[in-house]
Parts: sequence; structure tokens; C-alpha cells
Amino acid sequence: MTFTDYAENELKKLPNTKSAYLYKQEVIARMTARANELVESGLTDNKVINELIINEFSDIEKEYYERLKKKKKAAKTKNKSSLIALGIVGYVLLLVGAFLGVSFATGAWDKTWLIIVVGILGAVIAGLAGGCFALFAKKKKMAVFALLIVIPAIAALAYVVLGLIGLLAWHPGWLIIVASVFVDFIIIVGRLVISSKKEVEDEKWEDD
Amino acid sequence: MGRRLNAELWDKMHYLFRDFNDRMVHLELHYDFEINLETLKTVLICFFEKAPVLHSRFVDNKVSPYWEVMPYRIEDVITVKHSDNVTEDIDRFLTQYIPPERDLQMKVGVFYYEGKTALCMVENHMCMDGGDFKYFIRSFCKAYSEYEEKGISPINLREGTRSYDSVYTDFSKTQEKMARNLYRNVCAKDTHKFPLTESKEGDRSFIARRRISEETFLKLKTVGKAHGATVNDMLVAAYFYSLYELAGYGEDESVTISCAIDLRRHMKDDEGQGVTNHTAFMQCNIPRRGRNIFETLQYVINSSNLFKKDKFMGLYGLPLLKFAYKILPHSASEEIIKIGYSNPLLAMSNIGILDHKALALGGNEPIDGFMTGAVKYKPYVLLSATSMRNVITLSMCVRGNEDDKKIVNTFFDIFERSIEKLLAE
Repeated sequence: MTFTDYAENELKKLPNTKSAYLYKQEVIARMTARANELVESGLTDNKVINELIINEFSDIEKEYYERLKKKKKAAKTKNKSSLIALGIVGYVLLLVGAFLGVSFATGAWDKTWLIIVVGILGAVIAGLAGGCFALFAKKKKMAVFALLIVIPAIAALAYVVLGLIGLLAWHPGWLIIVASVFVDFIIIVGRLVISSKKEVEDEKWEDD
Repeated sequence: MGRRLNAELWDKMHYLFRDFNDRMVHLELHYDFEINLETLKTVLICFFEKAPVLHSRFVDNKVSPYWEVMPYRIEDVITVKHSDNVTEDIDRFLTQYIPPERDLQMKVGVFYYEGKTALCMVENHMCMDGGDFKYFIRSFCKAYSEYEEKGISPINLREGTRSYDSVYTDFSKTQEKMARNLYRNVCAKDTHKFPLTESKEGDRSFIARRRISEETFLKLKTVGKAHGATVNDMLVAAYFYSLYELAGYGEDESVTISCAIDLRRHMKDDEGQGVTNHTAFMQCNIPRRGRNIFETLQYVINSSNLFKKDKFMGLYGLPLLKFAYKILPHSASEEIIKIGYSNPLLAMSNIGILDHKALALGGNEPIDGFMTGAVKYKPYVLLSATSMRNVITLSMCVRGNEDDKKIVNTFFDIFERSIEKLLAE
């Protein structure tokens, strides 16, 4: 059986598309190249060469669909990245627009710069919080670590912003940061208690 | 740039062992006919393609090393010679060293003499251990026979993962979790040494061997059964007993020999496994020599039974190694591991039976053969043992000089006397 016959037979269920055709040609070219490599290595029995290569290329239909899946995923990621980039640019323009608008309207340039600072820091923390939420949703172990970072970050930002606009006294306002660290401590203790309970259950199961 | 293969945990560990041994695994088989060279070449090329690590070079990238698959010619793999002095030719071939940066990690020697053939193989331990090397040669011989006799293409060699954590695949979830948390450093700390000379320039690799006859082997089995001991226990006891005499250890000194164990005992099925390393050490310790060799034997049995009861035998230390390689770049993890790792000064590897039936080539069974481990750099030693047709071949590969050869041969003489004592009951 030639490599062309083999590829045609294995890939006969593929749709009649350009990408399927190109894939077939690529597989045949790869198989031929492998055959040349084996001849260079010193293999002279053509039957063995054929069977060895066909054995190597035994999953070409599966490989095609996996490639297609990867391509679609890559396209999706590219679209997502483009949207995110667009979103960031739009947000920055909005922020600058808001800063300039409020500044010209009120003349309070000594205070309105906070719009930029809070806007950027808030976006960063929102991103962290969003990531944290996503990790929790996927039940990833790192979710708890992300939460331990996000809570003090939000507390620190709130302290600075509220202090600057005069809504919170610097002292004893700093206690908000201490409180956030205390919340982190409670989360850690809680996780350890849950983990040890789970270990005891596993051991009981093992004993049983 | 060629295709890349992962450098697995054990690949990196054996690379680290370059300070302690030459990483070569050696095989010698004798057949009473002349092997068909073309058939051998065909089978070898196919097997090299199925196990591409054998024609790869190791790239010691400081962050993350890897194997790079390289093109090769079969003429560079095989050495063929019509020998006038086959012993010398075999010895020269077997004591060669293959650097891991080379494009080929296995060399095959075919020596024709007096109508017979000596088939020799040397391969890099980074690619596979004795257990998989035995599988490799069995598959090779089967493929040779099927191709020669029936024209069946020689493409049947296990392919798949070479990862260390295949040892966990047949554990339950709980057992696997426990095994993956065995963060323990289980290295030998014993400082008792084999009494070789100091290393000096001019030291050369040699393989010393001694045979234990079929008659003795069968008696060992019988006596062993009476004492509740395996043949391996008997050999280890003789090793201990002989060492005390050769090296002059105090009778009340506790000595440890690190015995190689095949971690494939934890795997029910090798489907989807590529050729690789799955060997660890268990520390066989005796508290003292014993009043006689039977007391030594009892100490060995007690030590060995302790390990046999442990369902995680040999798995301690793997998670720690994995952790060290995972969190640090390769060059840094090597330095950290070297701090905690203590290479055993005294070691033993019972590679096991070389099945003469399974090693037949076209119906011609081998008349003799043995396999042995790496050439150790002083002061480290490894006693290897294989058996074929009920004849045990003990071997010790050392980089040393003529005085070291005499010392090793003296050790073998004492070993034989120890065996006689075991059988004298």
C-alpha cells in the first residue's frame, strides 16, 4: 500500500474541504520524508519501511480533528485577546476623558488626578478579583491564594482613596488593612480545618 | 533542530550520577551460530525508531534539559568484527563510554569467532535500566526470529510515557495521594567502603566476573528454602559476610548494602510505557556480622522482610526529587540534590534471569550470557548478578588498576568460600 492510498483510506471520512485536502497532502509528505530518513539510516526492506511508518501514522484522522480543535481554540483566544485589548484602550480613553471633563468643569486639578489613580488601581484589583472568582468557579487550589492577595489589596486601595478624599481618617483608618490581614488569617485557619477533616475522612475510608 | 523529548526525572538523576559511575549498562550474549547481520540491522533500526531516545543527544540546558532526536546511520551503531581474540575484543567493546551529548546512546557489537557469534550491547543507563534492557533484548530476539522466519516486520516494542510517575498508575486514589507525599530522604549514610586503592591517573574501566555453577545454584535454592531465604538473600548474605573479611570491618559493626529494586513491582500493566528507568534502592542493613554466615543470613532475611511488607517500597524520596527538579532550574536543582543525596558506597543489583528461550535468535538459544551495571568510580562499587541456564554470573565493573583487579578477584574468592559455607550445612 502506498502512503497516498493509506492516507486516502484513513482520511476518507474527512469533509471535502480545503483544510482537509491540505492536511492529507501534508501527511503524505511527512510519511515520505520519514521513509527517506529510514533509508538514510540504513533500512533497505521496503515492506518494513512501509509498515513502520504506517504504524507511526496510525492516528491521522484523530490528529486532524485535534488540530481543528486547536485552531478553533486559538482563533477564539485571538478574538478574546483583541476584545480585551480594545476594552483596555476604551477604558483608558474613558478614564482620561472623565479626568479631563471633571477637571475642566470643576477646576479641582489637585484632586481630580485621583480619577486616573483610582481608575487604574481599581481596574487591576477588579482583574485580580475576577481571576480569583474564575479560579473558585473552576475549583482550583490557587483560588484561596488569590483571595488572600485580593482582600488586603482592596483594603489598602480603599484606605488610600478614602483617606485622600477625606472620608476616612488616616488614623485609625489604617486598621482597615489590619482587619483585612485578620480576615486572611481566618480564611487560612478555616482551610486548614477543612483539609484536616478531609484527611481524617480519607484515613477512615482507608481503614474501612 | 530535531524533535525534542522530555528529560524525565530518572534521566536527570542518572545524569547527575556522572560523578559516581559511567552510566553504561552492558550485555554479552554468545550464540552457537553466525547471526544474520542484515536481519540484525533491520530489527535494530526499527527498535531505534520505536525508542527514539536511543538516537538522541542529551542537551544539558541549565534551566530545563531535554533530549534532541538526531539522524543516524546503522553503521555507526554496529561494530562488526571477525575475531581472533574474542575475549579481548568483547572487553574493549564493553568497557567503552558513550557520552550523553553524542547522537547515539546505544552501541552494538557483533563478533564472529569459530562459527559462533558474541552479541554485545552497551547503552546509556539514562535511557533504560536493567529491567527494561532485559525487555528490550527479549523483544529484539523475538522480532529477529519472526522477521527471519516469517517475514513479520519487527515493529513490536512498547512505546509511551517514560515518566517516573507511572509507578503510581495502579494505586487507588488514596494510596496514590499517600505515595506522592512520601517526602523523605532515604539515602544510605553508611561509610563502610570496599577496600580498593585510591583513584589515580591511569585507572581504566574493567569488568571482573565470576561464575556460580548450576550445581551450586540449585543447592543454593534448596538450602535457601530450608531457611526461608530467597537466592537473592543468600547472595546478599554472602556479600556481607565476604566484605567483613575482605575489608576488615569489626565484627560488631553495622553495615548497609544498597540493593536495587525494580519499581515496576507497583505496576500491574506496562501497556503505554516506553523504555525507561524505574529503579530505586532499598537499604539492607545488618547490625553485626554474626557468629557465622547463617546468622548473617538471618539478619538479611529480617531486613529484607521489613521492606517486603512495605506497600510503598522504593517510592520514598521520589516526591522530594520531583519537587527539587520542579521548583528550581536544572543546574540549581542538581546542586541542591547533591547536598542531600548520598551515593551508596556498597551496592548490589540482582538483575535476574536472562531467559535463554526468550533470547533465541531464529531458534538458536544463547549458550552463555550476562548483563551488568555501570562502571563505578572509586570508592563506589556495585555487585551485579544475572543467571542464565541456572548459572549465575557475578560481576563488578570498576574504574581502577591491576591492584584493584586483584582485590576484586580476591573478593570473589572469599565470596565463593562464603557460598560453600552456606551450603555446607
